[in-house]
Amino acid sequence: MLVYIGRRLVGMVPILLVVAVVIFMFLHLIPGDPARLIAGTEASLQDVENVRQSLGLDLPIWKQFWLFFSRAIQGDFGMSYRTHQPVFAMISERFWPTLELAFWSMIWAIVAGLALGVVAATRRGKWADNLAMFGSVTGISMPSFWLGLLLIELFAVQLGWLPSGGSGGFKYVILPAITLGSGVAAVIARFTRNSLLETLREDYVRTARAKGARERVVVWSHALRNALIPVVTMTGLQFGFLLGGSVVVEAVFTWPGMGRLLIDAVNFRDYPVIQAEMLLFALEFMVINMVVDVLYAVLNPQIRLDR
Amino acid sequence: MTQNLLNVSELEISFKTESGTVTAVAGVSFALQQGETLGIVGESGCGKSVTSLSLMRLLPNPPGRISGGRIELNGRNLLELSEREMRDVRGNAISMIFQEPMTSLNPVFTIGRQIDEAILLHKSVSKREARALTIEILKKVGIPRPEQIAKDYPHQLSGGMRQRVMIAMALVCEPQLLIADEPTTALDVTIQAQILDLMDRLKRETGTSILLITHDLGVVAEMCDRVLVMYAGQVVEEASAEALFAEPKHPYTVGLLNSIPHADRKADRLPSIAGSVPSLTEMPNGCRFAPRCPVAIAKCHQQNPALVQVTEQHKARCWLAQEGGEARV
Ligand SMILES: Nc1ncnc2c1ncn2[C@@H]1O[C@H](COP(=O)(O)OP(=O)(O)OP(=O)(O)O)[C@@H](O)[C@H]1O
Ligand code: SF4
Ligand SMILES: [Mg+2]
Repeated sequence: MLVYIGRRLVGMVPILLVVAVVIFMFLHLIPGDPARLIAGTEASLQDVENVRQSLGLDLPIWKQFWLFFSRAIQGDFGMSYRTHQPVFAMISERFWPTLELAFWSMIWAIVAGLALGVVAATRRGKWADNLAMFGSVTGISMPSFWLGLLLIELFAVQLGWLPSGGSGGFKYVILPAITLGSGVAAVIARFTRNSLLETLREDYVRTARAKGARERVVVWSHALRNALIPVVTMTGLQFGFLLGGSVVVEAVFTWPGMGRLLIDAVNFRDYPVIQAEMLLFALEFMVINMVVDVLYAVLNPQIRLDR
Repeated sequence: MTQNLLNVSELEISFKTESGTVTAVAGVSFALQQGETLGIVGESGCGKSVTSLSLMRLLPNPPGRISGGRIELNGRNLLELSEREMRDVRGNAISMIFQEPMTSLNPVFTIGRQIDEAILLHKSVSKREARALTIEILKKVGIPRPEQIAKDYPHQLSGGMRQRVMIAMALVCEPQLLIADEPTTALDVTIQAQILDLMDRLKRETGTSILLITHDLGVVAEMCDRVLVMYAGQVVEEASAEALFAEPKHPYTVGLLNSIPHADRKADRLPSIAGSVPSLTEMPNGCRFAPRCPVAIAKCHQQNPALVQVTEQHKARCWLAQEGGEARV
């Protein structure tokens, strides 16, 4: 297992390199000139050209990439055009809040999604099933900013139980986490329900009942363990999307994470910040993928990782 | 007079389908004594599996339902037990093995854990003691290196081995009744023989009664004391195994016996008899076998005969047999 993880981590290096190239190309293809933005609207052509030179943006693109790359592998992602701080420091400051938000969102999504899915599957066709699936459709189709505003209105403004934004203790993360995780919870619920309905028809479920096991054990242990195998893969993918979705939710709840940093960076054509953030997103995606594969193998004894 | 272990009377099973409620099993009655092996044979769809599942109250519900009759185990009507009381019966007094050893074991749990579970559900022993019992029963059913196999997952075992595991799991709590629904159909011929031998040996050692469901009359001849022949949800003949083979009374049984290929006595499936089973939604008014019966008389198409004792060894559901007529074609 550890060998496998090590091999996967090494395998990420060339992929990251390719991703870096692609991001770099894309950034330079999108319209907008950072030199002009930095120099300001009043600046003369010569001023703009000076700024361009000082940022190294006048060099041929392959040379720019080489500079970026050779510094990046030493952990130096350059200076932000906007704040003139080291990008690495800026991002590491914002990284943990985003991870914290993603973590709690995922906990919420998994707990709510699994519970709803199991309830729906075991009460198939009854009102609890219909209600759970109605909730799930709503959860999938409701835009997260809107859900966020509704939650703020109810729990922050009307009831005053939770803060409407900002950061601090655990109570600050509750609403944004629910907002961000509900869409994923809905997808997990749906997927779990269908997968569980399928496994509940399997012969080994009948065997478990024939042993005299109680229905709760049959469902939560025998059937769900098997039903989760496909759910895990899907959940991993959703987690990736959730990282993307956090951009909006962070804005709604003024959460000090990478999402807001990214918005600002894009507006300002802050290339170093965009590049570093995108690379980090790519890395997260790959790590999640790896975790999913490992979990998949843990759940499914027919998969051997070290072979 | 010894009390029967199992008494099934007028069992009726119905299914809700798109075309209304159908009665898949219509008034099946039989008894089983301690230590006896009773075979149930009949074509596909005649209701063998649903009958056996209903003994455990494990019919898939919905759509299935036991709509009538009694199932008495040691004089206690299982149909009146609470779900909790019924759980104590399952895997303890009655246990079951199924046709598909490949899919009947849970792929994500080790063999040992699955047998341990059966023990822990019914005996007050520690996990450690349960594992010791597991190893012991695995040894008993002829599994080599039981300590290792207990740590293996089902996919690491062959079909024959898995069926041995199923048998071990079924017998570990020393049930009074073992229901085996086509336990060897999915296996190779040589493995089939081994599994049947094993079941026979264990039955002798433990005195467990067996209800053996099969397509294979060869298996019946080898294993069973008595036989129930089912057709379209009803018992059409009941006899001791010898009497059935020597002197079948029901034209359907005759058809089954005649169509056994001689070269290969162990046909996998029951060979076909001309015509097909009537569908549950359009049962004939008279004898259910009449449309296919080569010796049917006028009365057969109007009235369904009852299952009556025709000789000491024999019950049959046939007008001709009741009149002492010759069933042989
Ligand atoms: N889930 C179900 N829904 C509807 N009808 C069913 C269902 N299961 C069984 N039946 C009905 O019950 C009848 C008996 O089925 P059963 O499985 O007991 O047959 P069987 O004798 O075991 O056949 P086989 O030899 O193929 O195993 C079938 O003809 C079918 O019409
Ligand atoms: S009752 Fe008539 S139709 Fe039915 S099996 Fe006997 S002879 Fe054939
Ligand atoms: Mg069957």
